[in-house]
Parts: sequence; C-alpha cells; structure tokens
Amino acid sequence: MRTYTIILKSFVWLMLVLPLLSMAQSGLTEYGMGGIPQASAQNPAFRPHASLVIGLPGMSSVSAAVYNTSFSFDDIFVQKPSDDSLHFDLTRPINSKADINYFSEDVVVDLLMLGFKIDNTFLTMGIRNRLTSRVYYTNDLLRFIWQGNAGYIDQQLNLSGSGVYQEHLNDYYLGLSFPVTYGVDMGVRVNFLQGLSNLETQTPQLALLTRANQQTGYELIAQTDFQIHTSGFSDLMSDSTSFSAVNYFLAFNNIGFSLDAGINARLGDQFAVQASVVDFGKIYWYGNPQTYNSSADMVSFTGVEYDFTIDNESTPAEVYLDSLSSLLHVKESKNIYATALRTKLFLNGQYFTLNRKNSFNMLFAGRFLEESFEYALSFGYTFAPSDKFALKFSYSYLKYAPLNIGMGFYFSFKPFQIYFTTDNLAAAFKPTGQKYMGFHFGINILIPSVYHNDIPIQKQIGKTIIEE
Amino acid sequence: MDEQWPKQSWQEAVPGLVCLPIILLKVLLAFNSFSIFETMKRIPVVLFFSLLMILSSCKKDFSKITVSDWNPNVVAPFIQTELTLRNLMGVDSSLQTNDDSLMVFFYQRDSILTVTADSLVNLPDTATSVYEFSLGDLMIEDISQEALVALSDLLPYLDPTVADSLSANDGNTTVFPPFQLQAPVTVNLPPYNQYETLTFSAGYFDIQIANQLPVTLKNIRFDILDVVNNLVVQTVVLDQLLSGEVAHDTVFLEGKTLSNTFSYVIHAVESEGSYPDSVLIDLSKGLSLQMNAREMYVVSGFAKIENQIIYSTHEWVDMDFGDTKVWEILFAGGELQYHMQSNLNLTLNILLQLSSADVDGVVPENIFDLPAKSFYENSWDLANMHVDLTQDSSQPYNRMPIFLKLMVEPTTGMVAFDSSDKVIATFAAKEMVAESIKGNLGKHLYPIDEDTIQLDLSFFDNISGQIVFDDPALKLSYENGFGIPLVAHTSFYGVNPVTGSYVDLGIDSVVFNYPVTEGEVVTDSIVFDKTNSNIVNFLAERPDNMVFSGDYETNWNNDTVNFFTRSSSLFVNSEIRVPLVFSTSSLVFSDTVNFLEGQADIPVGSGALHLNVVNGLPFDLAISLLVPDSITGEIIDQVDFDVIKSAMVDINGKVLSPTESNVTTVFSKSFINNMSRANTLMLSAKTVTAEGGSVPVGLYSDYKLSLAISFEAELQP
Repeated sequence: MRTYTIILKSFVWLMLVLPLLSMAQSGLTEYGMGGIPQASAQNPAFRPHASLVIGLPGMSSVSAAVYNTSFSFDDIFVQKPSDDSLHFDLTRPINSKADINYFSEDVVVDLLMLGFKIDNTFLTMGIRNRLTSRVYYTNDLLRFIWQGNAGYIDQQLNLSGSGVYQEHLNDYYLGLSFPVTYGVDMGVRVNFLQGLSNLETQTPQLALLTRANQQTGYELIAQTDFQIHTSGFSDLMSDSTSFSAVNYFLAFNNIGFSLDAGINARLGDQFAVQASVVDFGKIYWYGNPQTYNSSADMVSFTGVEYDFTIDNESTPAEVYLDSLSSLLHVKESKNIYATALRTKLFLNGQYFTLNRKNSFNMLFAGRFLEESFEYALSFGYTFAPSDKFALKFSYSYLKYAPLNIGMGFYFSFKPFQIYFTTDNLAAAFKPTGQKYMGFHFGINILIPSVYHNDIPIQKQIGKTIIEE
Repeated sequence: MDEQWPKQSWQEAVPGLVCLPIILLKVLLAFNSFSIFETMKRIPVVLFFSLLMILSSCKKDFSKITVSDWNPNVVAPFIQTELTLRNLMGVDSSLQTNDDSLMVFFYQRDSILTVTADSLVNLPDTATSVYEFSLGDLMIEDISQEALVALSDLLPYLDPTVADSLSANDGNTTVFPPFQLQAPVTVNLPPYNQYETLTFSAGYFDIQIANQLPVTLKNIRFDILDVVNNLVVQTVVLDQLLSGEVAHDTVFLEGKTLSNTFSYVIHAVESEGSYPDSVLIDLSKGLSLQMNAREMYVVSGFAKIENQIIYSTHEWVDMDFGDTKVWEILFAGGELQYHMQSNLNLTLNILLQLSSADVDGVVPENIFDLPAKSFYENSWDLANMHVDLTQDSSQPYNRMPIFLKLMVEPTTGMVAFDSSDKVIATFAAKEMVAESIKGNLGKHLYPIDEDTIQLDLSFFDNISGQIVFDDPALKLSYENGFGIPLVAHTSFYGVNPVTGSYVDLGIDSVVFNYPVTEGEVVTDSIVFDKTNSNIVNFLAERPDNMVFSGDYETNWNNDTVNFFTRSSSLFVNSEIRVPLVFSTSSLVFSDTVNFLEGQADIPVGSGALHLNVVNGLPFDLAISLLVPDSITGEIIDQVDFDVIKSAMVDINGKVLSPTESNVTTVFSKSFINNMSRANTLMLSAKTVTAEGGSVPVGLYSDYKLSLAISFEAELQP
C-alpha cells in the first residue's frame, strides 16, 4: 500500500511540480558553437579552440531543459481580475488537441571535465550527472484530475499512454575528436553509465469507466494494463529517513554503455555540415529492481466489503485504498531489466561569411522518445568578432512550442571561459508563459590554441593534416 | 512524501530559480568590454539594472498560488457491508441465541444468597453443668439384742423372806409368793460391734418384753440407758404383764445420737403371787427383754458401712443452645468431659451413663471407683453420638440426661462419716459440632448483606430512549437442604447510571420450599416476570446493575419441626433472561466517531452519500450525523438521512421480508466545515418498531441489514 502511495504521489509530483522547477535554455542554439568545449556533448567531433580545457568541478556545464507539449505555467496558473492570486486551473490543458501530451525535463551537470589535445586529436574525459524525466498524460487524465469523474458517468476516460519515465545516471565518458581527412573531423565518445535510479512505465493501457449502479450507487470499471520498472528507489520507498545520498551516488549496481558519434565536415571555406548521434546505448538495472505489473483487462469495483462489527485494524478509508490497490492486480517482482537511452540525432548546416566573423546555420534535431520522435528545427546567426567572444541568436521550432528566440555566447578572459546559451530568450522575460525552456552555462579554464573562428586552420601536407 | 515536498517550499523556490538564469543573462549582456577589470567595476551597475529587469519581468507572486478552483467531483462506490444482528450486537457472552434464532440477553450469577447450617445454629464453645451429691443417710443393718432378767437376778433386790422362799422352792410347784422389787436392778448389755456411735435420721428400736414367770407382773418400769452417753433412751412402763404375755414398745431413733452400749435399769416390778395356785417356781425364768433395731438410717457416726447405693438418679447437662430448641442432635464432633471430686471417707463405685444417647446403638456409660477423698475425670467423644434431649419433662429440649449411680463400697472397719460430705460432679460439653439437628430454631431474622449484580447491559451503552421488553424474567433457582421454613425479605433495585433514576424490581419476599423428610434436598426455582414483578419497567430504566439486600427469616409460618444437617445449605442462583422482544417508538442509538484522527482539514467541499439499504430489521431507521461543538458539546450542525423503512413484519412482529431503500444525503459545504472543526462526529440512529412502536418485535440473530454506500464528493485538494 505504501509503495503504491509513494508511486502515486511521485507521479503527481512529477506531473505537476517538476516543470515548475526547470529553468530556461537548451542545446539547439549551442549546437555548432565550437568555441564552447561542452558543445562536444552534442557532437563528439566538435573540438574546442584550445590545447587544454579544465572544467570547474560542478560548474563547467550546467544545463536544464523542459518541454511541455500542452501547457505553460501561465496556462495552468491563471491570474484573475478579482484578486492577485495565481489560480491553479487546468481548463486550457484539458482542451488540448492532442490526445496524449507530455512534458520532459533534462538536467545535466558536469561534475568533472578535462580535455586536451594530443597531436591532431582532442581527447575529452569527465563525469557527467544526468537526470531525464518525462511524464505522459492524456487529456482524459487531466480531465479526471481537474474535474473528477462525476461528469463522466457512463463515459470512458481514456488514460492509455499515461506514464512516467525517469532516469538518473552518472556518465563516465572518454571522447576523441580527430581529423579523418582534410576538413573532416570525426568524433567518437564512449560512455560508461552508472545508473542511479530509474522509473519507467511501459505500454500502459488504462481506462476508467464510471457507471451508475442500482445496488451500489456507482460502479467503477477500469482497464489496468501496465508495467512499471523501478530501480534505485528502494530506500526512498521503504523509508525516506533511511535514504543515504552517499550510498545512492556510489552504488554501481546498474551499469550500461553508450556510444556517441559525430562528424564535422567543411565544404569549402564557407560551408560546413555536422551530424551526430548521441546516447546510443543501454543501461542494465540490477540494483533492487522492482517490477509492478498489472494486466487486468477490465476490473469492476463496487466498493469494499467492510465489517463494522469487528475490531478492524484498518479504518474503512485504509481498507478502501488497499482494496483499490488490490483491484489493480499489481504483481510485484524483482526482474532485472534494461532501458535504452533516448537517442538523439543532430544534423546541422553552416554558412560562413568570408571574413568568418558571421555565420548562419540550420539545425535539425530530434530524439526518439517512448512512443514518438520529437524533433526541432533551429536557425541561427553567429557573430564572432574575436577568438574570445562569440554571440549567437537563433530561432527554434518545436511542434508544440513553435516560437523560440534563442541566444548564446561565450567569453574568454584568460584563463577562464564563461558561456551561456538558451533556446528561448523569452523565458528570461516571461518564463511562465513558455512551454519550452532550456539553458546551458558553465565556466572553464581554457588554454587556447590558435584562433580559428570555428573552423580550424588546417594544412594538408601529403596525407598529413596539420592544424595550426 | 508530503513532508519531502511541502507545497510551500516549491512555491517559494520557483521565483528564485526562474530568475536566477535571467540575472545571469542580464549580467552577461551588460558586458561591453572584455576586460575583467572593467567588468568588475561595472558589476554594481549591472546588478542594479538586472534587478530592475527582474522586477519588471518576474512580476508573478508565486507565494499566492491557490488551488481553490481545483474542485474535482468524484463519485465512487465505497463500502458494501452486511450487518447481521448477531454481529451488530458484538461479541457479548451475555447474548445468547435461542434455537429459533431469537436473541436473548442472559445473565447468570450464582450464589446471590447462601445460607449454611452454622449461620443458623451457633453451638456454644462450652456447656458446663455442675452437680453436688451429698452422702446422705446411710442405712445401718438391723440389730437384735436379747437380755433375760432371771428371777434369781432379782432375789437380791427382793424382800429376803420372799427371796428365801423362792430360792427354797426353786424347782418346786408351789404357791408363788408375792414380791416387790426393793431396789433397781441394772442389766448391762454387751456393746454392738457394728458401730461406736451413730446419729440417726430414721430407725426404730423395737422393745419386746416377755414374762416367763408363772405369775402376773405388775407395775413394771425400766429404762433403756445409753451407757456411754448416760442417756436414757427410753423408759418403759407396764402396768401389768400376765404370765407368758409379751409386751412391746418402740424407740424412735430419728434425731438421736447413740452409742453402741446399752443397759436396762429396772426400777420397779412386783407380783401378787399365785396364791392359791401352785406354780412351778423356776429361778432361771424371769423377764425377757429383746431389743431389735430396724430401718436405721444414720447421717453421721463411726461405724462399719455396708454396701449400699447412695444415689441412683438422672441429672441433666444443659446444652445451652439459647432459644434454639434442640430435640435431637447427632454430633459430628466434640467432647463431653466429666470430673468427679469426692470428699467422702468412703470409696464409691460410680456408674455414669448417657441414658438417652447412643453411639452406633451403644449407650455410652462408664463404671469406676472413686476412692475416698479423691477425684476422677474422663470424657466421652461426642463424634457420632446421637442424643435425645427431650427426656426432661420439665424442659423437653436442650438437656442431655446423665444417669448416675453412686454405690458405697462396704468397709472393713469403722469409718467416720457425715451425710453432708459431698461428691462434686462436673460435666462440660466442649467443641460441639452438630452433624444433624432436629428441633425448633424459633423465629429469627438473619441479615442479607447488600450485594450487586452487574447486569452488563453493554449493548445499551449507546442507546437512549424508551425500550419496553416484552417478556423479561428473573429466575431465582435454589437448592434447599434445610428442613426449616425460610423466607427472604428482599429489596431489589437498580439505578440508571446516566440519569441516576432509581427503580425497584418489586420483589418484596421470596419463599423457599423446604424438605419435609430428613435428608431431602429441595431443588426449585421462582420466576419473577411481568406478572409478579416490576421487571419490565426495571429494565426500561436500563440500570447498569441490580442491588439487592434484606434479611431471611426462619419459621415464618410457625412450623415447629426443623431439621437440618451440618452440610445443609440454601444456595440461591439468579438468572436474568431477557428475550430481545421489545417495542419502542424512539430508541436512539448514538456513537461518537473520532473520524479525523488528528487531521485538521477534510479535503472535501461538499458531497453526498448514496445508501442502498436492504433492511431486514424490524424497525425503521432514521440516521442523523450530528456535529458537536468541540468545547461545549452542543450540536452545531446535523444532517438527517431519509428514513430507512422497516422490513415487513407479521402481526407478531417477525420479519416477513426485507425492504429496500435508496437514501441520498447531501453534505453541504458548511456542514463539512463544521465537521472539520469539530473533529468528532456523532452518529445517531433512531429506531421505531412496527406500528409506531406499538407492536413488539423480536431481534433474531439472522436478521440482517445489507448496505451499499457510494459517495459523491467535491474535493478540495
């Protein structure tokens, strides 16, 4: 019972609260800004204009992004003329045109980062903490939450597709970027993944029908076909006071590997294209895996049998909740399982002016989610007046957040570099009105090499490529 | 989980978190120089403008987020339950079920009154009787002593002429000359060897005087003299004593004290002679004197005592039973001690016999010698001794006869004795334990200590209103082994613990039947119901206990024959049997529910409960939920459910078929608010039996009420 309650509360928390904690900016604007060492996270072929990069621990890369396909903060917290309070209101989201919506949230923090150049190869290594969450919800689920089921007597509420995906891991990576031919750099990064916790809902088929019943007043008929995997939550679920952050972060029970690969090719002096695939891999969850499985097609609930005449250990409400839980026929098992990382694809084209102080780019980005492919288009303009500074503006299109004006820059002052990018600048002025927000910033110690203005100056002598 | 993510904390966190990147962005945008020093100089300006921008952009006050508009309306089935009356009444050992499933409140309490034999008769620890036996008059055997005053003895005291003549004619037949005694003649008798001196209480000396001479003697006068005491015991005077004639005289000995040595002193005797007749003169003949002592009883003296019974009598040991008249008693234990103290100089042979008693058919007795000036003590074990205490006609109860026979052993020598010498006999009955008693205990009152019977009518605890049970009964069952008329004068009452009202059960007396033959035990019972008591009204007051007290009386009907044994007893057990057949027009069940269990808020704005009830109970139910003020207890709000109709019942109040009711009750927002503040809720269920409470209905354990509850609630998360 307690487990289910925790799951339920976690679900609600994730669904309603987590987006509010997320802050602006993402990586669409950042893509292609080769002066930022951390841009290699999206394409291992990117290499910084430096011979040595040391990321300040915990501060070299902090990024977060949230994307809600259905509503922004202002959509669900409405200010009314009558008072100055923000009224929680799901009226708008429940009228969404899409049957299934979701919001996702990604938080990535580099704990350690080191990069250095060996001959023509730039090697990066580090530890990256990554938290990824997605909550899927149907409009009927929001209706049920917002309106209850009283207005849907004899109407089925479709909850299928609602679910939660959460993954928290440490990524121990080693990446190489090296030229493969003149003007073509290739990058490969190998990631050893330390899974910290995971919650994953698989193929939920859920529905709720409330019917009037002569004998019992009402009858609830539910379809409950779902499977939930969890790992790493055992301490939290059993007793929150026993949770130990040290044990949590040092547990190496869940391991996985992933591969990132990219290419950066110059097409003449003014054009370049980049493509990359990141997060291609799996994590195997061995540490306290719990699987909650329910495969009931239709469950009828007409109330609990309760004997008031005996000394019950539980109150009617407790028996009621337990009975509701048991009606789901949830089977609990401890099965090792694997989850695939949500692979991201990037394809970018760049055009440079002749003085190479200005460039334009067009980016196609996408990632494979549980049931869909999420994509975005971004167009950017970069102004790089010197090797120490670059400023970029972008426009990004997401399906449910089509208007995003972004901005990014980096600024070097020996030996430091500071950078910041965001995909939705409006979030800085009106964050509560945005469905999509993301940012990325950090501070590096950077020993620069020769300034190349994004495109390193290389010379080919015979078959040897020499980078100046 | 709520503690981990309190609502307030994330609301407060949002503004800062959202604005943090904005601050950073605006700081960075403020740079127009790449000099770190320039930048440092401008930081305050940058922060100032950044703050202005933040204030202009982050205007929303996240601390004022409210979910007041979030009021989902949920409906759901809640609870299905089936309440049989047996379960509804709970586990109560006082509730029993008849074969026909009728529920009966049954309470039994053993020994509400116990009377044992020792509480009726209290035998004294010791009953002592002392008797003194005086020696009394001893009998002395008859004594006969004969003396002859021959003519020859008289010759010296006659005229010499006559004396010579007589002497000369001795042996001759001749005229006997006249003579006259010239001087007294003393004839000494030998002393008696049976005694030396005696004081007589009775007895006689018979004096026989015979004239052996051939002539008539005249003017005879002589004394019988106690030589030792020089006491003339008797003077005999005869005017004439013919020849051959015998004269008699008697000495009455009563009051005399005499020695054992006597003499005759003849003062006068004369004769006229035989002239002219010749007669044989024989000097050996004379005047014969014979003294016979007879029927002598003496009170003192010094004498040889012959074997004789001095006492043969019944004495009585008073058993000291007070005013309890015991006619017969069979002892289970005890001892009858006796002590005989003799002050006599005589040895006594004593027979003691408990003449009206027997032990296994044998009359207890003891024969023993009690030497002079000594004592003797012994005892009888009273165990198993049956005694008839009616032998004393003057008091035909409580008196144990003892037959005493005191015999004086014959003495070989003379002993001094006195009739006032005593033998003291002491009888003491100790530690008497009666096995059985027959008699008459008289009229006595014995108190019955106040006692309380806990009725334990716990199922009444939450019920108020008038309830009238149809056929309750108090049964007093008893076993009586006393052959004694007994009546208990009783007071039964109860007090309602809530109202304090007093109600009397209306049972003033309880008469117990009793055995008519010894050994019989009467087992019987007395039932008090609505016909002979106030039990219906008594239970209607719902006292939590029944207090009883009083006393019990013996021989209330003047019966005179009582019997009982040591193990006889009267045990009275009580049974209260209340078939749950009752009528009521306003029976209210109420209970308090602490439903919030510490939670301050109920996340429900308004709501409704839908009840589908299949009522198999023989009464209407009108349910109300009452909200009491948490401080004063005053009802500040309430919700009344529609009446749940009674099951169909027949004329006897028995359920024919259940009735289905659909009841919907709406809870307003104000009611829920009041309920939230009160923290407790009172459930009140008013019941009315069939025909407006006029028809008694029975509660059968298989009666049931099926209930399905669903709810509709406007939640306020």
